[in-house]
Amino acid sequence: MKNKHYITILVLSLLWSACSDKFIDLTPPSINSAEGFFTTKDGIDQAIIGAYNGLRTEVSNFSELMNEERSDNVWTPSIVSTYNDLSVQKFLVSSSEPFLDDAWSDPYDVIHRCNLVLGNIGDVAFTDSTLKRQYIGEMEFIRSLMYFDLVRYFGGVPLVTKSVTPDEAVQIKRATVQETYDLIVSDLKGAVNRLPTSYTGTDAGRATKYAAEGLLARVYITMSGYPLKTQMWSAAKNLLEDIISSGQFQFLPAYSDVFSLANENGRQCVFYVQFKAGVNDVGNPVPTRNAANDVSASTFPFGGSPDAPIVSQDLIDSYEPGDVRFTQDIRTKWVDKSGDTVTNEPTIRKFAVGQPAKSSDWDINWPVIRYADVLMMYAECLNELGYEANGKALEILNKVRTRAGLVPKTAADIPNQEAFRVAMQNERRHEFAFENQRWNDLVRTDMALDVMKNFLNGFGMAGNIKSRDQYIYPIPLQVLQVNPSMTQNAGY
Amino acid sequence: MKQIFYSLVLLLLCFGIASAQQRVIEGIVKDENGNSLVGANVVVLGSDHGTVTNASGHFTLVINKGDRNLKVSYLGFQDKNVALAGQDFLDIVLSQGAVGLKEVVAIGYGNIKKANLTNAVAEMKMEKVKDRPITDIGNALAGQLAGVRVQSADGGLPGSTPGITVRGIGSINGGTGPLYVVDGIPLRGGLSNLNTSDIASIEVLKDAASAAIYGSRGSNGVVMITTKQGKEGGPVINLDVQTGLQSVLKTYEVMNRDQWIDFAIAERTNTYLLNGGDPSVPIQDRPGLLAIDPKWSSNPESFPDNNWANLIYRRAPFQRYHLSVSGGSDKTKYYFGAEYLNQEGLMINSGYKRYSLLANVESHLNKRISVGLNLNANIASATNPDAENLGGPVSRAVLLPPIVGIDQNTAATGSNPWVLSALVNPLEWAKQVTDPSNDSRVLSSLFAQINIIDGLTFKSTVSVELQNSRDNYYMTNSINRGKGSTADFATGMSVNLLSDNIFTYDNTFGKSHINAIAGFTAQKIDEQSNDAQATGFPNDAVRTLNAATQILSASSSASGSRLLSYLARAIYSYNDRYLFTASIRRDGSSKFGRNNQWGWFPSVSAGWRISDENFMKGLSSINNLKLRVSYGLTGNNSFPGSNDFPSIGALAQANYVFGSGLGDKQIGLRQSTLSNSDLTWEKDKSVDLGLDIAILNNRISASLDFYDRLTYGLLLNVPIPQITGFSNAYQNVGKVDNKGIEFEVNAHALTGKFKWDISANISHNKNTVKQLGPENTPIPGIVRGTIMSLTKVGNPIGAYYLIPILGIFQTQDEVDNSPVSKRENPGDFKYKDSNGDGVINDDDREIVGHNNPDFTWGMGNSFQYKNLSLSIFVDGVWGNSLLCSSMAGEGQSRQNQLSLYLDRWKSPEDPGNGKVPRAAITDNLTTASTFWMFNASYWRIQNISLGYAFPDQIFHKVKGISDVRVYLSCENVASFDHYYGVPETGAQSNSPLAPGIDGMTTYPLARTFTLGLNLSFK
Repeated sequence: MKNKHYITILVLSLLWSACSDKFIDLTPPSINSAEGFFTTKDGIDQAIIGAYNGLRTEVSNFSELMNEERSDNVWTPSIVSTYNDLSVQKFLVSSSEPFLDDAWSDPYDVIHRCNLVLGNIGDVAFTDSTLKRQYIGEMEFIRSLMYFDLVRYFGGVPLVTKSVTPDEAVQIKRATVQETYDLIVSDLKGAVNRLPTSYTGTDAGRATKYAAEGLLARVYITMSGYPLKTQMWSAAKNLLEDIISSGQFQFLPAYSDVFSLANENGRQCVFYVQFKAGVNDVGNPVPTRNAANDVSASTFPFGGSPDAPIVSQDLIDSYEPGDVRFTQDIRTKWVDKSGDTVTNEPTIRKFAVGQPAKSSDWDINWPVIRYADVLMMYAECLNELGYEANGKALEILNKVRTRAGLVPKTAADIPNQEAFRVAMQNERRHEFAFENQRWNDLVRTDMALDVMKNFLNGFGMAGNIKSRDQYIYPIPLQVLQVNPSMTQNAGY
Repeated sequence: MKQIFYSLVLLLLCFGIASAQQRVIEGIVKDENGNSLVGANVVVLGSDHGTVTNASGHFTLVINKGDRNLKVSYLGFQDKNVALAGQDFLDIVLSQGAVGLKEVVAIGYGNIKKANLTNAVAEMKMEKVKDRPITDIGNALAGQLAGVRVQSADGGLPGSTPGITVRGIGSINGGTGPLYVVDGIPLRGGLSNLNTSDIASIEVLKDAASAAIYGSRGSNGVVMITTKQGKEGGPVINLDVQTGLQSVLKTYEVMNRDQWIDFAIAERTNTYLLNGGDPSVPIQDRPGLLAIDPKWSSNPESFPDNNWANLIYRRAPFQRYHLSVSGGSDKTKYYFGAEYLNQEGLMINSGYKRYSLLANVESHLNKRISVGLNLNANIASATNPDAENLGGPVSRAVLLPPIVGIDQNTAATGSNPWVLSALVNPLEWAKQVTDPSNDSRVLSSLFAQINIIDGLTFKSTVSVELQNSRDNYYMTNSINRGKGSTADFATGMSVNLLSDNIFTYDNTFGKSHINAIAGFTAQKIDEQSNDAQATGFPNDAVRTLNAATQILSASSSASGSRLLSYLARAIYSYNDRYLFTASIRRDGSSKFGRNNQWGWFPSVSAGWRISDENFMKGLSSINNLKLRVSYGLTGNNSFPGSNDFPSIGALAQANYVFGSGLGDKQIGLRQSTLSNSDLTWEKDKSVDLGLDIAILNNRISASLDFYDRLTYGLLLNVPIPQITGFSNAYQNVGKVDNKGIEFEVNAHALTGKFKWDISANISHNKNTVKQLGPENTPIPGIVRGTIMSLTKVGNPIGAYYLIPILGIFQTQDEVDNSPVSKRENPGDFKYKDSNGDGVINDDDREIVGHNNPDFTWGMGNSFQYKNLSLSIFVDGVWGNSLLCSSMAGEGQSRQNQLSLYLDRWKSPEDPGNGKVPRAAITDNLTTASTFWMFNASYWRIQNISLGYAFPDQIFHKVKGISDVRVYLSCENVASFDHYYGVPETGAQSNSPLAPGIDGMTTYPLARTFTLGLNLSFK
């Protein structure tokens, strides 16, 4: 009988010990779990880098397609390519096209990265409270940059400022354009307050106060134009003045210096997306994307891409003779793989600086805001706030023209505010060619309807331009399918 | 053979000693119908001295003068004591008792009398296939059990394991194979390399009610394997030797030289003209591979006529030796088995060797406590020149034209100028590419059982399954088309530890009988894998990574899972007439989300033996009539991609550059997958209605089952609002239904001197997708970048989705008056304008077929006359299709083609078979159409075996030998089908979403002749 008691005790103790939930609580040995990751400073450090990383895809994948190829700077004849970009150029985009899914989901992916940091950083202990402020500012900056892209691609979008579950997400409706801009402005105001004026050493390249001011100025200028038309010129001017008066930036004497590897993170840089070749997965793919697929390896190391946009004749014709930016930015002829010289497919040469380490792996950083833009936005603000015949605005315009090797304009050439507007947009088209500014400039100035109708008329497709509804893209079909409460944009 | 001879001599010496005070008696053991019982135990009562009956039911036993009684026992029959009254020959008849079958079947954590079963459990005795050269469980089961489909996607590749599905495909992204349980140990994965010679029986738990005792792993059915155990008496020594020769039964049928030349000239001319070529240009000067060698027609004999299949395939030997020793007393029983298998492959340089050991020992320490050990170890080594690679030798033996020289088309020897240079010479590939692999598995368990009070026992078992694998792939520079020699070295290991603690209560109260179990189990699986790839070998002599000059990649990763379970089951019967079973299991798994880690898996079932009712008493011809009904809930915890941690949001590297100047890379992280704490197993609820009947004194018995199996909460990677930061996430949202009928019949057609037994089964299953996520968005199955199948609500999973072809255009007139796709001419496909919009495009795709057979069947016939036995086994599937993805190419005469092109359209006067287009490269070839689809139905004479058991008189004098039997067996005698290759295929893709896709890479099926010798000693 004694034995029996022992057995009972043994069995019961076995049962007891096995009851524990701990047995099935297993930590994955080869999966880096997100659980608990955002609760430590080390985790936040890496999550911040992960958020910046999101800017890379945004630049290399969509920005050029959604902005530059929509404008009169690019026209890819059908014979060269049959890829999706043609519908963008021909204004025939339908909501089912796959690139729209990415243009929608990628910014939200980056916004989510920012939201995870912003939602968790409050509880994380930092020995340096300034750093915590800076991190919050950086996430606000990146988040606003993403919403700024989204509002210009799609109009008012659902505003997500914290991590949400799929069930919560379907409850979030589209905000208006105004509400979207309100969030962008408030994020950027926060960033301006929190970010330092500069970084040193290994932190160079992070968003600064001036980066936030520059971006906010661009947001204000955009808000001042189509569709909101809220006059924010004065606020923009003040921000830009703050950047200029800091003395931290320089208008480099030669246009080619701006795109020289020696000047990476130099004094022309207000905010750039950072790239580096030869160290795996952080190189810039844009120069490869911009080179023709058939280009010979001797002309272009490691070859080009089938997605390369072809520069429009309209843009080529618009350059004044002697404009150094024309030769710097456009490859008018190139040698193909069979050794023939191709002259009828001009491609983008800008940014193809230095040598790639492999295909799609270049060093060159991508300009989001460079100092020339700060000056030119400032000039635009001044003109909008009141035309001045030989004022500061003209001075800036001529500074840009002189550097490009062109004759300065006189007050007689630009006699009034409207003439200055035209001159300024023309100059911006050349100064910022292929920097994904042209389409947005055309939209905010509401020139896009006429300009693009005229442009497409050259290909017998003027009828494709129907209305200002086409200033934005359709909401991707998949977005509507997954969330029935989403509404499609007018005209699609 | 020499070694075996010596072993035999040694064994004879050991057992050939007999004392003078003994005499020899003989006898036969039969059932009530006069069928001899093979393997019945005959023991001298009160001793452990005994024997078992041989294949003809006979036994010979040496007894001492004082022995009075024999005890004769046989599974499923009542034991019988026979008095020894001086006779020399005993005719012993065993009876099955009042209830009929007393046979027990394993049902998981216990056994049950087959007669009292209330669930759908299928059973196969390995005895049935013992004469066949079968090396794995899958091939043993093929066609044997209703509702169990075996598909050998790898054809006859030695050492390959066919896929088994029970009652249809019940998952889209998760696993679809059953849980395998060997002697009570649920395996971590598949059954590969398990020795088949030492298996006694296989039970398949088919309905959810029976599988529910395995809870979250039971939804695809459970295959329970029981190894052989020792019996009282003995020792019995059994030696089985099989030696055989394999040859190609079935491989792809292709064109020979003259047929290819005829095809090539026609195709190249047509293609040239189609593309606007100038007909006046001499044929040899036409561009690229449109040029035609004038000598093809003027002097075809000057070119080789290489049949690549004949060059890479061979006749290959097969050998197996199996030795077992078993026996025991009333205290201790033991079974030891050892097997050596050596199967050379049909393809040169391929083969499979296996060494296996099994030890099952159980000992009663005293009246209450017994302990036991099961040890099952297998070591397998295989060589395979990457035969089924998409660019490998099976495929290239089809595609390389016969005119290519025997050593051409490698980087070293250069390519034949008239064909695609990318087609690597299959003979050279098979000679140069090596992939030796080693797999070992040790399955072992140790148990102690305590009889606490009468009827109540407690059994505690600890088990371990250890697995190790290693392979060393090497491809020479010459085969790698000059891109450098490469090697890939991979190892894997896993440890599966299990603790089972089960109370069993079994007792009878008057007419009531109760059998109940309760207990808990804990299982812990850890696994690790390593992989390294390297290149830059100075030569091909040393193929291990130490000789490489550059490591391309190296990685290691680890994973694992934990499962904690509580289970209980009660089986109650009243008067053996009213039967009830209820079971419940609670599983907690590490695999799933915090909120859903635990689940309940209940089942209930009932049986009514109508034949025992009084109102049936008059119908004496009906021996058994039983109605069964069951309902149960099970789960499927194998997550897509074998991810053990699907609910955990994972971080992925997201790097960036900071720093002045060019800056430096800094390592960042982002969350790459959504955390989903609600994620849980796929669930399966199924109903089974069954009827068992036995008539004419049990000469004919049959079972009929209807089932409806609904799998829900299927894991689908559904689109979610992207504003969450993610585009897709796995959610438990899909539903699939499998409905079916199963029928099995066994008959003793003749029971006299000439015996004839028949066993047959047929099953039908219908698979229907019921729900696919919130929007029911269909899921395409993509192979080679092309949508080939579609999983859509209302259709089977992975149904083929193609544009139907109505026929071949005969005239230009017909072309002009039909909707066309691209540029069609006479001789090209006439597609169906399914949506009637006047244009042929992807919108005209229809669901045109699927890989699930409508019917799966098998039939065995066995005959016995005196000492001679003959058995024939036939099986087949009907109503399914397969897709040959290689038909999607535009290679035409740049390669060789299946011989179906012999029936091509040549002219309106010579239109071929109306299914095959003219020889020309057109866009039609790459248009996804029913041209790629083939009828996959087949039937096969799986095996014919002829055996002869030597009469006892012949070896009577040789002491020790009790049984000598020889047999001749032919496996895969003949196959009848509609395909140009192996119809059972799926070598390129056999995922549920794209099933049965053949890339012309399926290893040929072998026809094997074996000669066997079986010797028993005691």
